[in-house]
Amino acid sequence: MPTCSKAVIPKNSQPIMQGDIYKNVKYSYIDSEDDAGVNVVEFEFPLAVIISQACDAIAMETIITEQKGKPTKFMPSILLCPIYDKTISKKGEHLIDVFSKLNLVLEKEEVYHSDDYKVAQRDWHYRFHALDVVIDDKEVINNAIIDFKHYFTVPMSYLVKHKEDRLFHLDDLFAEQLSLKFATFISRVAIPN
Amino acid sequence: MSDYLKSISNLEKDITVVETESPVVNAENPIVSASSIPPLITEADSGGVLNQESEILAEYQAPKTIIVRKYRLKK
Repeated sequence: MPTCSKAVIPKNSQPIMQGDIYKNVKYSYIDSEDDAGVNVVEFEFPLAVIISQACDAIAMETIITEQKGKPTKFMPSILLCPIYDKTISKKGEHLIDVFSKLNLVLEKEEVYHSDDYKVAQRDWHYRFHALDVVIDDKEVINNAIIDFKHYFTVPMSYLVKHKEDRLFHLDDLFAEQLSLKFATFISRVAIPN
Repeated sequence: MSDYLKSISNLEKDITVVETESPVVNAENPIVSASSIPPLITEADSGGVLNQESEILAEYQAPKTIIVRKYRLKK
């Protein structure tokens, strides 16, 4: 049984911070350009959680909303990790549209095995975090998994502009749990074969 | 290059889309698009407290897939 992360529904007036879960998060990049135009690719992650530290996010939100601030507080972008359906992501099906649109051949593979998920449920997996979210003892997200490998960033201006897409805020303990696990993931040393 | 960055930063306002590729969801495609997910409750400023709409929230399931779109911006 995975840890049940407790959350609240934040007021719109509350600052954007670590542990906020947004829906329909768009991440875009310039894929190529030529003399006539620029080709842009946009990923829309149905759910994503903010990993950046709360103090950093709050300070940058203030800069954006007040249109002024100190250089030490400036952050070009905010780090997030996507949240996927556990069953679909197991076989990589959550990436079908990505591979198709990027003209990549998707080779069949189990993204993770049953043993991996059991380890994730015990909060021991280096890459995956099994996620169940409750609000006032009511389960609002289940059967979900966070893949730390798929981290991405968006500018704070995007999160401010789409604040109505913020669904929940994970309690500080559970938000910090994610940031610590992400730190463990990003600092691992993988020796190639 | 600065013009491109300006275009991206104001993507939702100034974009001139020449062509796009929208995700295709059909009967043969088992992938559920984000748009088919039941709507969530929105919280009023006095909120933070679940009301009878919490049942809708409880039915929310983690979405199934990343949606990819392509845009072309004219120079």
